[in-house]
Amino acid sequence: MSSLTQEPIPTMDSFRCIHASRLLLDHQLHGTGTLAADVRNVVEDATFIGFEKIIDACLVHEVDCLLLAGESIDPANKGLRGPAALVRGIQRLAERDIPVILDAGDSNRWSNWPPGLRFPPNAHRLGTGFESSVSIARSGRLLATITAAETPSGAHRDITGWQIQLPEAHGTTRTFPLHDDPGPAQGIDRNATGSHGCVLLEFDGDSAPRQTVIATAPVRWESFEISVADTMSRDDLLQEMASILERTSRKPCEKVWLVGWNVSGDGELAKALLEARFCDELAADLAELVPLPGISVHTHSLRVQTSSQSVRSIKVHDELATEFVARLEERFARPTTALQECLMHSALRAGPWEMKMETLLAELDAGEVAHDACRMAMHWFGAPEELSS
Amino acid sequence: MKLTEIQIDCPGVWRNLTLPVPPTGLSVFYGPNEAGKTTLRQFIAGVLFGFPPTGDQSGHIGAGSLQIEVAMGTHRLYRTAPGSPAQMPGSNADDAVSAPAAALDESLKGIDRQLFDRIFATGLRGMTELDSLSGDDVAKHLFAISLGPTGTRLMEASRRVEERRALLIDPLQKEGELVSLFERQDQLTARLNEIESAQRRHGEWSQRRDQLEREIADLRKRLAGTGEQLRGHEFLQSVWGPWDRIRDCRHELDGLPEIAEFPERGLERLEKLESEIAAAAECRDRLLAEVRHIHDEVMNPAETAAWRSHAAAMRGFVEQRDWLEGLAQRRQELQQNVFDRENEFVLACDQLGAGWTASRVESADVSAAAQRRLWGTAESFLSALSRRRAIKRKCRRIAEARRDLKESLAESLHDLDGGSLDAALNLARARFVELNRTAALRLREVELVERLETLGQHRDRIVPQLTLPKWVYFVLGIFAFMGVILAGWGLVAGIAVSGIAGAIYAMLGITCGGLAWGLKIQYEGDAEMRLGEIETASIAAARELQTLRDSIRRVDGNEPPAGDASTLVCQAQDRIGELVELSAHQRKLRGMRQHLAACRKKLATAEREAGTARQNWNELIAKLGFPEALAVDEALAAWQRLAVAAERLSALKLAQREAHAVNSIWESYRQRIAELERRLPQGGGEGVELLDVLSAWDDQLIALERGREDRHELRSRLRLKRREAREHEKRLENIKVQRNALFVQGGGANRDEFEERSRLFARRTFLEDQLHDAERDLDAACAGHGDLALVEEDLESFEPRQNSECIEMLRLELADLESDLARAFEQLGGIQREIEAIETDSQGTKVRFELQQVEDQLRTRARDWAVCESAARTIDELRRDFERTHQPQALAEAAKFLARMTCQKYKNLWTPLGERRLIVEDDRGRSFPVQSLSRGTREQLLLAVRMAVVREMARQGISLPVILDDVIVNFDEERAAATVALLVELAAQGQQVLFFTCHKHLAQLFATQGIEPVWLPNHSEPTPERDEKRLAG
Repeated sequence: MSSLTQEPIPTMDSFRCIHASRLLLDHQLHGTGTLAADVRNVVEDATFIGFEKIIDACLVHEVDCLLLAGESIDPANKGLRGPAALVRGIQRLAERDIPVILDAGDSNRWSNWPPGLRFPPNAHRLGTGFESSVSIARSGRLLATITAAETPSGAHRDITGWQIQLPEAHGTTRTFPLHDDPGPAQGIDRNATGSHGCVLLEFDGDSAPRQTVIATAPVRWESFEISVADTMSRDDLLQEMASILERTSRKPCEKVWLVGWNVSGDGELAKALLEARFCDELAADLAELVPLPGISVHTHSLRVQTSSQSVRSIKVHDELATEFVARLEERFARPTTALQECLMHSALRAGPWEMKMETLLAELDAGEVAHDACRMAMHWFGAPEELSS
Repeated sequence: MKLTEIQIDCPGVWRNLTLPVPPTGLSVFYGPNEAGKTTLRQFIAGVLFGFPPTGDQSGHIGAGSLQIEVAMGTHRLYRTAPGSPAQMPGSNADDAVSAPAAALDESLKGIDRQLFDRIFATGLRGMTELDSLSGDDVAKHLFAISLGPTGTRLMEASRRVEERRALLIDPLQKEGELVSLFERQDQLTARLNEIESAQRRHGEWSQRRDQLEREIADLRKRLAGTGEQLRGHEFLQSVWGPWDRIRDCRHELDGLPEIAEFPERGLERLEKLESEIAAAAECRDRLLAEVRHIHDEVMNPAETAAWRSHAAAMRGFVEQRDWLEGLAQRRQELQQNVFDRENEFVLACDQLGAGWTASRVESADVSAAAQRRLWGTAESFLSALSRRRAIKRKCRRIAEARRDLKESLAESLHDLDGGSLDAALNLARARFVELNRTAALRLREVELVERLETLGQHRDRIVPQLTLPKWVYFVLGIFAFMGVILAGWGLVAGIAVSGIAGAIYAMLGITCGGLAWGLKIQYEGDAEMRLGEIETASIAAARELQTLRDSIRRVDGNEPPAGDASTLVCQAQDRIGELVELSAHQRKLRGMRQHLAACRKKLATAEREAGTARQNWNELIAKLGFPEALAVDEALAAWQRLAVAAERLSALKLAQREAHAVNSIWESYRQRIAELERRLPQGGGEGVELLDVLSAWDDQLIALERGREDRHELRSRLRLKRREAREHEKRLENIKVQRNALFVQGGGANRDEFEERSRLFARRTFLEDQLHDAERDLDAACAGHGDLALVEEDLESFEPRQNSECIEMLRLELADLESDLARAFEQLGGIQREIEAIETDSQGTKVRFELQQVEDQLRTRARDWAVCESAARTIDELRRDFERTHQPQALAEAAKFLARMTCQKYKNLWTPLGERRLIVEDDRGRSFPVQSLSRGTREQLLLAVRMAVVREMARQGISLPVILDDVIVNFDEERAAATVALLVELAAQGQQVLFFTCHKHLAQLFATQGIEPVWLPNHSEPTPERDEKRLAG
């Protein structure tokens, strides 16, 4: 947000616009885990609700135009609900004669646009084969001319920049490059933590452009680190988690928090957290504490981290375990092919699920798989007296 | 056990046949089919283990004996098959073995018939049966892998990972969590595709919508055209009427004479003037008659003067009559009010009680200030009482608590025997310190005793080190002695022979002596120094122990403490705790006492305040006139009643004052009216009501006024009538002049001409108005159709009926078009609803979300599977290594035999961990289960395994002859030769092998190995050549 030109503007009309990107309407959130019915409804429609909030913000702040960058709809999604919602939102702004400028970066994406859906006249698509620039006027007076800019290095690959040209009193224009990515309007996966929404840009006559982040996403992803001490009990952990949530500031638009916990530490409690049932009950109890009134808190993952994720970090107990670790390391010496070899030599080869499995394995981190395999085997090898009994 | 001779008597096959068998090496018996080879094999097994109860299947076995060599010597075993007609000497017919049972049992060592048939005596059929090796007795030699802790852990880990993997997906890939998720994913994907096919329907609906919108536009266009047509026709219809009227009017106007000017409403005006002339003449005559009549009436007056002189005074009183009536009513009301107020006051005085009079009530102060004063005093009084009660309750509560605490403290302090608590606490603390000190001294005593013991042990350990063996002392002594001798000798030699030699001898002597001394110091010096240190430490410890014991005795006195020191310390600690608690209670009691005293002071203050408040209250109510014993609430209520009484008293006085003033006025008027009444003619006497007199005066005054007004009016009317009569005369003349002028204006000399000209002028005017109206209608008809032009030809050729039909047709067409348009709009609405339903359908969203969830679960399960698979494969590797290195010896030997039999084709043979199956590895390292081998190779494998088991049993002391019945007939030539060589080698190593065959080439193969076959006779067709060979028997 800091790359905007900070030079003062001598004289020009005030100009306000809202900048949002990657609406991804009707795109579903990844990795939420199993949700309750009411939470699920919000999560399913999260992208729609967020877009509606953006439109509301445009009307409330009486902006002069709305800039939409990136993929407004998921190109892999053949459904109509997303495009229809986009058209409805633009139609709402058309009633106030507010232009909407869409720049998907790649104009080929519009080729998948449903032929039966017609854009309202206030929608302007930029790109090859479409408009190259859009002039925004108020009461017959030109306020700004908006064009797509070159994508700067380091920016999101789907996001192009904008160039806003504002006319000045003496016939010249000032150009404001806008390369900042306001981020997706709604976080899609667990990596998109924090609140999301759009940015209100205000170009006043005598001052530098001002930016205000407006949170609109109803679903918020969060990830918290928590350390488990040896002496900590389950209730202590529960209270600690609740207090972490309470300390975190919230936005009025947020209805659901999807929280991931990265627990570090050793001891009995950390061992108990390796049990899925224990984690599920802990998450349920945390939700019942209602740490954020008015917000449903759902724990999507609870991971116990050791100091290092390498196989070597696991303490081995005897010769057999050592041999196992050595063989496993040898197997995963080439992580790129280890999992494929795993599939090639398994019973799934040439079976009905081979292709699906191959696709799934390609997404996995071989190092994590090796670590888990080692930990699992160590759990078995680590209790010889139990095994012999 | 070695078999040395077979003697068999089998009817039909062998008749008293005796076959000598070499005790070592390989014996080959060749004979064609039906020569009795199988019978011989069964016979040997039968003699060793008994014949089957029902006899041999072929029924050939009869009786016989076997001569065996065991460790105890040579024995012959006799046995007869049950039911056999043949009898062997020394045998029993009931299948009893007449050989020494001990010798046989010693040889067999628990081998039963079944095991013997599986391992030692096998035919071709036994070689092909895999399960012949699966019995426990055989398996324990083949599959007895010693698992041990490592094997057990490997097996358990393998089992667990297999279980976990099977939960994810079973080997058949039909069940498991992954399979369920994959299937669910497919279902959801199919469902999603199905839902997304709605996009196609959306496209169709959109096309239909576009088409409908085009149709609607077309219909609207047609509707507009038809409407325009209809408007044109309707325009013509609306315009033609006025246009036609204009045309008619103009035609008639052209036929009328021009009358440029005619008096406006001339005929009407003429009629009016003539009627006015008649009316004016009539009025004039009537007025003159009235003048005469009024003049006669004015000339006759009749009035009395007496009434007129007092009329002014009478009118004055009569004008005040309403006021006097109101005054009389007001007087009655005030009297009634005085009466009511008086009753209310009496009632209020009764409520106040006896002794309350109007003057007393009047003297009482019931002002707002007095009320505030009374209320404030009452409130102060009540609050003082309330505060006093609260403090009383608090004092009582503290006193009770203090009493309870004091009683409990007194019970506790009773045990102190009258001593103070602080003294007891000091005593207990001193006791605690003393006990601690004693415990520390005793602990130190124990430490010192242990240290002394430790020092003693160290000394005991060092003393043996100090003492060197005697031979060492002896050697050191010799060294010392020789040193002295050599030193002396050196001295002597130096003096006598040579100084250098003497010095050398002296040096040698000093060296020997020094060496002896040095060695002694080296070995004993350190130990003696440590011993000295120990002695010093022991003395110091003993001294300290003595001092310590003296101190303990001083502390304990003459009586040793009863009980353990730690118990005593704990008891002292508990006692201190109790005393501290009692001290705290005592402090708390003191605090409560002080608190109680303070409360009591407050109570005294509250009592004083309550007394002052009561006194103030009593003084106040006494000042008000209430009794002092009155309660606060009662006093306040009495005060309220007093205030009410005072208020009513003031109301009574006010009413009385008002009544008195009204009575005075009323009396003054009554006297004045009575005086005037006496002066009037026909004046009334006393006792007549005042208002009645005024009523009579009013009537009289009205009559007087009416007479005066009548005369004045008659004179006015007379003057008026005369003037009116003159005016009517003038008016009559004027009207006649106007009529003549009207005739002149109308152009007529008389009334008839004037009327004719008036009719013509009116018609023309009418036609001009009609024309004007028609032109206005025409303009109005054209006003809404500025875009349409009037065409004269169209109007002249206009046919109203035809035009109406045309309009009707166009209206019908318009209605049809509107209907079509409405239908099109309806269809469009339905399509838009369909489109909206498709666009807002959230099923796809839900399915996509669920699909996402399934894919998330799939990722998790796939990771679990990868973890399990990686772990399983690694564990398998470990397990295979373990299997390779922990195979039983029998299998290792079998692998060697198999390698030889198969000419090194199959080099390894092993069994998986915890399983009872065999795996064969070829020369390229490939593994095969036994079932996948060819028949010949499988027979070679089983023969190798049997021979290995035989060797294993031999190592365990079980040595029995091996009987092979044509087991290598399916071997190829090369492997048969290798097998024969192996058998020969095994036989050479001491294993007795009896090989039966019906194949001559095999017999010859053995012959090439130096084994001469025994040729069994052919019972069916003896050949001459057989006699030339070695024949059995």
